[in-house]
Amino acid sequence: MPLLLNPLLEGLDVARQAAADVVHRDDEVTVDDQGDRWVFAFTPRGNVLGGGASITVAKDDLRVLTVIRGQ
Amino acid sequence: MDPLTDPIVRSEMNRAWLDSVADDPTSRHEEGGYIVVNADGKFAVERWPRGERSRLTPPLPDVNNCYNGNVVVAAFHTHPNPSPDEQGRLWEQGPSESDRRWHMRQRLRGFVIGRTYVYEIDATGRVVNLGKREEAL
Repeated sequence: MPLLLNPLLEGLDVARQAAADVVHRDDEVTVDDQGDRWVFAFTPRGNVLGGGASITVAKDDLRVLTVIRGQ
Repeated sequence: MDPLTDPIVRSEMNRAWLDSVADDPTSRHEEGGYIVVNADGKFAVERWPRGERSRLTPPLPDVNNCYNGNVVVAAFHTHPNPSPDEQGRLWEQGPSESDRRWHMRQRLRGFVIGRTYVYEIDATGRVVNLGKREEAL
């Protein structure tokens, strides 16, 4: 039986996949723990306007609740 | 003097919005530019190269805060993506975090032209809604 060693990293991976069209590997990532959910914020680094995303993931089953893309 | 009261600046910002082809789901993209003061002391606009669907990389002013020889006083760019779009994706309509950071880093005032509203970002990253696009521009 697989064990979930680090749910936060699993959530981060789910969030990345949910907005793969706008999230880049080198984006800055922050996470806001909101009890039953995480809100992952991806922000591009450097000389860039726009991009990034805010993605809300449920902790219990890693469902993606919302994806708001930045522009 | 506020650059948004200048008819040339307003016209160029409107043109940038049209160039963004916001109503075309396949071609919509960001456009932007610098608002500068030229040698005659008049406002002018220096457009940037075309951006991508949801981001752009502005050319930076030189060490004297000039771009093409003119003093940069502000910047603007467009946000053409609707929310939701044709694929049901949600897009932030106002300035994004990277917009705020860019303006803070450059210590430069700026304007974001959205589908409905125009927003101002000051050099500290504070955002103000200036009202509906058709009225603000």
